Amino acid sequence: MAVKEWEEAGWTDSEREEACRALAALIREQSQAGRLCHPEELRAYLAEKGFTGLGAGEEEERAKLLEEVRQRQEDIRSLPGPDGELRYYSLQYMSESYARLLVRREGDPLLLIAETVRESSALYPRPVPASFFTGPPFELTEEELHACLESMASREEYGDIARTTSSAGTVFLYSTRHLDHGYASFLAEWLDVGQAANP
Amino acid sequence: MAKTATRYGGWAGKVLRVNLSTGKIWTEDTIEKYKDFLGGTGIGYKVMWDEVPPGTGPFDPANKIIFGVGPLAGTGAPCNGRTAITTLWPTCWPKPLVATGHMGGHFAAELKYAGYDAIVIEGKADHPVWLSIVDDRVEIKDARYLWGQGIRRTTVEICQELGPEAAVAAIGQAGENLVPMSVVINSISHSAGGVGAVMGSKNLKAIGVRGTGSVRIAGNKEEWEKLIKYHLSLLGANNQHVVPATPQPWAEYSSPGSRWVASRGKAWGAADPPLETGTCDPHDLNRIAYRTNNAAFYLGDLAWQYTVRGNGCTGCPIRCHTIIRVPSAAAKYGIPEVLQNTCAGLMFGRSFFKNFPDGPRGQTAIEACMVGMYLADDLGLWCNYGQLQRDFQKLYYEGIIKSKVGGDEYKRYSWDKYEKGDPTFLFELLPSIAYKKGELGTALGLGTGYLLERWGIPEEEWKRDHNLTYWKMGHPKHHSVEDAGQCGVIINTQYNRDVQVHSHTNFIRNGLPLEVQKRLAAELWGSPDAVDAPGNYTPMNVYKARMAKWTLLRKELHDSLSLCNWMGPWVASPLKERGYRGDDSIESLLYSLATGDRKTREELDQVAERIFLLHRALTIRDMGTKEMRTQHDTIPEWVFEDPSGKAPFTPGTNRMDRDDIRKAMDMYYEEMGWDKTTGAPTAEAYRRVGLGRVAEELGKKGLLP
Repeated sequence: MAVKEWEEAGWTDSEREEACRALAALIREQSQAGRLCHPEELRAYLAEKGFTGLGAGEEEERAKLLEEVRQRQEDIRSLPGPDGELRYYSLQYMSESYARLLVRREGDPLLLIAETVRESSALYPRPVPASFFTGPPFELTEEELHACLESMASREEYGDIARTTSSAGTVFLYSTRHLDHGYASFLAEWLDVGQAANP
Repeated sequence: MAKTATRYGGWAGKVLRVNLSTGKIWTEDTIEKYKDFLGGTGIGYKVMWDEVPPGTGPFDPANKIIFGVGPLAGTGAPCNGRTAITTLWPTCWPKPLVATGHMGGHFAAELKYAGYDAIVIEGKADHPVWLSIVDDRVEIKDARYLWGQGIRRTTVEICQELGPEAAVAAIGQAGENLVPMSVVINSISHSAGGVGAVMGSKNLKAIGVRGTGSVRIAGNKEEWEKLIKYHLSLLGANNQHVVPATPQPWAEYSSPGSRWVASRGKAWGAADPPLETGTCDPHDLNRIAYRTNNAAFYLGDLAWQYTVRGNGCTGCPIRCHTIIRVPSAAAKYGIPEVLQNTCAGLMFGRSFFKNFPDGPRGQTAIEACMVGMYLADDLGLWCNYGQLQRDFQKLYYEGIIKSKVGGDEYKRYSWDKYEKGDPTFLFELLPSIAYKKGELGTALGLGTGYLLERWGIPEEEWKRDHNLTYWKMGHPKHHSVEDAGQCGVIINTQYNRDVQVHSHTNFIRNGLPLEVQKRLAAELWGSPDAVDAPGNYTPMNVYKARMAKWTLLRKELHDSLSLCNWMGPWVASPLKERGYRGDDSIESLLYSLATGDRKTREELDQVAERIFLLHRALTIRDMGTKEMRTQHDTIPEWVFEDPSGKAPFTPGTNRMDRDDIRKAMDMYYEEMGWDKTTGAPTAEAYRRVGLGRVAEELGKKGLLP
């Protein structure tokens, strides 16, 4: 951002730098605690710290300020949330993949499950225990998870999300786009029973 | 300290020699005689080659038992707590051959602080004794008051005499009664299988050691501190799993199969107050010990509430032994409510049962683990990597026990309790094995090979059974086809017991995506094709043979330096900024700085090859044949079958292809520079690693290809 614009907003250069550092520190703090930083938290923080006076076009100025934070602080990244607004995180404390999980969690839980399962089936490749979604950072209740899986079973867009159960009774999810049933079942058994039985 | 040792750091400088027949105690200079073999298994194989003639039996006074540690034991190097115990293996069938058992705990460090790199025991005492070592004061003491006692009581009694800091390696009643399936245990739960009865045959109940010295680091101390920090930064969780089991904020990847189970919301529930393990960022070196909870990994989520904390070996932040407090086990079975162990030791009791009333991860299963640990770790019983329990299930459910054991004896066991998964059944079975009670107890204590022979069951039957995972020579597979396919198969052909090799599995199971593993594999072994996804194998190639060689040599290197092969090598790390690379030179960096004997990675690997070839030479000499490929390096039938009929090289099977495995063995022998037809090292292969005299001796016996 040009100095002139900042001057028009009523801030000195050092104030601007201080604001960027303060915002980055907040984003890092949130990331360290396993949370994304939402725009409203940043706004509230700026107000609390007395960084006011952005004047007319305040929203636009704020966006520019956050963009500057990203430029000045190499570890600060953003991802668009389901509402279109950016979420901020620090690579120093949070991976991009974890940030993606958190963004997904804000949206449709069915999509959250499907996208996470597809990613795992393609990347590692391996199936995901259904219980994965009841622990951090997803924290669905058993009832919510059950309802999601029931709902997904009848929705065409989730037709690739399939289940297999290990001999210990653990339900795993996988995507048929990336794993066939036989291999997914083999991997589920290996992950859930085989590895512990072959210590 | 011996004069020559002053040139070097790391080594204590002396090997302690004890003849129990004569009572003679003396020392040898480590550097003069054993430096080229480092320590640990290296010293063990050297003593066995030089001093124990072929044809010696495991329980003969002429057999020797070597407790060997390495130059890194007792230093600040991470994961330095391993003691290698080398002797003739009583469960090796049909003929006992050389093998080693491995225990962690504090024995290795304490031995170094007392001034020794190894203890070599020979002969046989004329009454039960224990060996007392307090620095240079070494005495053979009367152990008649300890004979018949369990390992816990023995440990306490000796610690009362030597002080609470002493490390005590003791046998239980199983070892005293010459039960081949017996262990020696130090530091409560750190066992080495297979050697308890060899100590028992020498009337040696225990070794208590207390050292007040230290281990000198030859190099610059600041550099050493820096190196230790660097090594710590590369550590993962137990078995060097480098990604967490569940998503953590800092982590790019996770794997449900990882032993890095720490997470927000996962707490050591029996700690006071309960301690949340948290997210455990890998850069926080003060929280490494929170990453692993092997009770939770093996016994299920229920174990979190019983977890007191992790425990482990000298210098190791991993703490893979989990201390658990299960009050219901104390109330129901009259056993201590706090016990500890890891892996197969943790599951010792549970593994006998096929069913439990509340499932395999329920309360009863945990109580069976408690009863099993209590009995096995006091009686000193060995499970042979779970083969004892797998054998037992097959023998019972196929009616073999009923047919082989006499009617009255059979009826004395509460089989209804066994079938229902009642842990009290273990109070009937396990003491029977330790005391050789009746036919069943005696047969189970022999080890698989001798049990099958005694009961007239062809070994081939065991080699066909997929569920038994029996491999050969009385022992099971240990990280074979399921870990790195052909590489795992090759490794499992090489030893005279279940192979204690983890270099490959620690890489394959590290939890990283296949693409990342392949990138690292290309750097380590020359091509991404060295590794495959689990159960989705591709045909053999030379890079897999290189990986197999590396895997074996690193095992011997670790066992000779006292580094833990259940953790290393450290060729992957949890660090994204390093591209998840570890450092394949960490062993040589530690060795060079600690000892002052500068060696590159390649030079140290050559020493490891020397040690490995000496094991091969011992096996060839004592078997009396060079036909290793057909007589020793054998592969069981189940490896070439799949229960669901899947073909080799299709996704979802570990089944191997016969022709491909023949090719794999060819490539492995070539990689080692051995003769492909016999599978025996050539004279040149021995000479290349400085074993020319070994080659000469084998040549005179017609045992060179």
